[in-house]
Amino acid sequence: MQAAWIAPFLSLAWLRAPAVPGLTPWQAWAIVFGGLLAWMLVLELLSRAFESPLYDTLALGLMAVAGPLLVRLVLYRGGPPWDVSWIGRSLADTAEWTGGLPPAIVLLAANLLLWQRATSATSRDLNFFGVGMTFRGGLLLLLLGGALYGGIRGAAPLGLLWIYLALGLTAVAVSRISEKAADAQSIGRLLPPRRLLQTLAAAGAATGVSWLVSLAYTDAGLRSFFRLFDPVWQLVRPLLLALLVLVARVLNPLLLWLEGVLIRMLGRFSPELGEPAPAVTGTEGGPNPLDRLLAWPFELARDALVLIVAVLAVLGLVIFLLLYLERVRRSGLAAEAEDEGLDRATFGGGILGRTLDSLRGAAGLVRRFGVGRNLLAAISVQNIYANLCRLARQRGRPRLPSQPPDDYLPVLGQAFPGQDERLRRITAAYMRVHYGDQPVGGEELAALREDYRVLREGV
Amino acid sequence: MRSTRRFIDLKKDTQFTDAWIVLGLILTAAGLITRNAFLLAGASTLLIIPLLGRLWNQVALFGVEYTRTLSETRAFLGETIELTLEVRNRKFLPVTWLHVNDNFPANLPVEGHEIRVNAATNQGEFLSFWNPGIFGRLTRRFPVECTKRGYYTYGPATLTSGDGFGMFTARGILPGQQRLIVYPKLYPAEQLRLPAKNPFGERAADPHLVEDPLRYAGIRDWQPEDGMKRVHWKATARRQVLLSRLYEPTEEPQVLIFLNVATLERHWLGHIPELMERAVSVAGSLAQVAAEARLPVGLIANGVLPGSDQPLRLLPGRSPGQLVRILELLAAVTPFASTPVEDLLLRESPRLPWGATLVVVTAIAHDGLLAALLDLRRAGRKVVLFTLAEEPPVRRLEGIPVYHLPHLVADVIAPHVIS
Repeated sequence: MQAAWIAPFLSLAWLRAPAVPGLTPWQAWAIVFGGLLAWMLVLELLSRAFESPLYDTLALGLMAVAGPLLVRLVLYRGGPPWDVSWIGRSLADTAEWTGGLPPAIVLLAANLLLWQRATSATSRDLNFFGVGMTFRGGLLLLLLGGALYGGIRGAAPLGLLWIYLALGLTAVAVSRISEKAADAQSIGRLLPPRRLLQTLAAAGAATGVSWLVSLAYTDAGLRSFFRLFDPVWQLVRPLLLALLVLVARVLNPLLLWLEGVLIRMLGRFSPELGEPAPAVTGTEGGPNPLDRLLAWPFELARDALVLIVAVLAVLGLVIFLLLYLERVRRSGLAAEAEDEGLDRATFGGGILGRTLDSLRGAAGLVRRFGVGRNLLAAISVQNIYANLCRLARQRGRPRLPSQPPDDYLPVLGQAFPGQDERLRRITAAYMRVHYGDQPVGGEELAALREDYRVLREGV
Repeated sequence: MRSTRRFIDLKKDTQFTDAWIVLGLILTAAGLITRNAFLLAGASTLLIIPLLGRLWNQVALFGVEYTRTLSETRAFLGETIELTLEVRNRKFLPVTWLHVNDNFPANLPVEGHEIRVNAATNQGEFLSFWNPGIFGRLTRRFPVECTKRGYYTYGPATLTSGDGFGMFTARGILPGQQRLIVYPKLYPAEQLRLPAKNPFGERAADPHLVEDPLRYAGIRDWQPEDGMKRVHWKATARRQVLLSRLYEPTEEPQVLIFLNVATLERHWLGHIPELMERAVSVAGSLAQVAAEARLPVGLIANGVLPGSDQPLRLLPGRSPGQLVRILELLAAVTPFASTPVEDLLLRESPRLPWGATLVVVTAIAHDGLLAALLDLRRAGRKVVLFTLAEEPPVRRLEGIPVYHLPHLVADVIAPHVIS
């Protein structure tokens, strides 16, 4: 998994090494994968043989030795082992940055990175949070590296993405299982082979689906898809343009006024932007310079005030819109949570089932109450009852999916003590409109709304 | 003051955020603009993986069955029963992880496993992990030690699962419950120091104050006080001697056990649990002795059942299930006295059959109780006292058999405040 996101960067950075002229992403992946395995093996053996701090010292020392050794073996092969002239040559090469990153630096950096990843992997404190973070971070880096590689070299290393996805999802799934087992007094037995195979199959299937979707999710595919909406766009475009023109016309006076204010303000600092300065003729025509000098700060303050108010108004509008959107989003989440709560007990049903249920309910209401005031009253009663159930749920008295309203009434009584009569009225009205076909009159609906208001404010 | 700084939520249990979708859309736009195939593939991945996770999560609990079975629903104190938990997955998707948080009695330990006590609900929670495969079934058996008398409930259980990739979680509640009754410990009759004959006191041949004319007992020679109404004319004619009918008395020997759950004279100050348990055990043992002697036996206690505020009351009966009912009530009785036992005795005795023997079982023998017993005795009631107090009653209880059983609580540190 780690090797997959490092590979494109290594492949891109490895530009000018005479001994190894270039690396394809797959070659880079193989090298990184091998290096990572080697480091993990060495660190694992070290950790078994030595305790901290000796282990830490040895691991650091090994990393410090391995880097230069790699440079020597990869970049400056040949010559007797005691020949140290390569150090001087490598230092000289390192100072040369014109043709891209010096290979020695790339090697040292790659080695350091692999060492760090191997240290992290052998630290034994892998949990779902850490693995998930690594997976998400690695995916972002892989997307960056792959996109850069595709942009620079012209060929997208898609295989790395699928490898990363398959291995990453497997790692996340296993860490998830491990964490959940640890939370629940698990005896720590290894995952049985069949379960492991099923987990691998699930990760493989998810990767396969992603690959299949990516075959269609291409530039050409998406453009073809958007082209399907051409008729709609052609229909909407004149309307949108007309709307744009209308908005521009409505805003035109405001924009002109704003422009004038700005020009006046700026004109004070640069006269060529403002009105032509009147000729200074002493006492003839126009205010004298002293008056202008005295009036200038006040005018500036007035214009600044107007501008500040306008900016504050716009800001207020934006904030109001943002708050409103946030509120809508939260209410949507709350409703979703409630719906999930209902589904939880049924262990099934999903979006489709809920939609069908609500459609069926709406059709039943129309059939029984027609389209008119009675229908609106019935819907209002249903809403009142639903809100009542929501409030009761918040008080720890949820209504079970299979619980009839009359069975639920005593539970509601526990949620709203001392309000039995109001609860009984609302429940009775709900049962009338939900199970029967007796309409609710205007006065009765008003009374029910009042009952609900009292109950809600009591909360 | 609330900090508005951003932070990493280390307790976050899922790895999905809105950023997956937002980034997927941004990468799509960037891929379309730059015509970069890798970006578009990455974008599709960012959109597809959460979608797959969502779909998997939707059906994570579908077809999952969790069953809880107790090998016995009734057990005696000290016994060990077997609890079997089983999870089935009836679908073509594996359940990679399943947490079951089951409500267990905190007082009954499960061997080798911890039952956590939820501080909010004061209930025990047994957390278990399962990962049944495709159409898989997992069964686990746990020994449960019945270490404390009680009326226990297992369940409901909360099931939590999710997709395999840690994107989402789903939760379901299974409301099913099982009950387990742990009867109190029963002492053998010798340990209660009961005489082999008439364990609840001598039954004097009381004069039959009220006779039941429907229950014919036999004939005897006519007595002048019998009057002519009692003459058995047919037998008189046959024997040529005046004979009278003899009827059964309306009263019959019954045993009614009065259990005092209070272990302190001022019962509202608290209670000594182990002392109360011993009193309950003595009451249960006496009920067993009475049932073995084929005496109708009942139980009245000033303790209450869980969820009730009324004293516990079961009138004497001779049915085969009477002892079981008494033991079940004793299993469930709570240590909080609703009323002083002496008040309960004086209130209940007028309603009881005249022939009933009132057996009072108490951990304390305070003056109020002794005075009430003497009053009842003076009124002609048959009363027996079983006390676990350290010292025998200081007052002389004329005509009341007293069984002082301090040896039953010798291992319990009984504070002197008891007496």
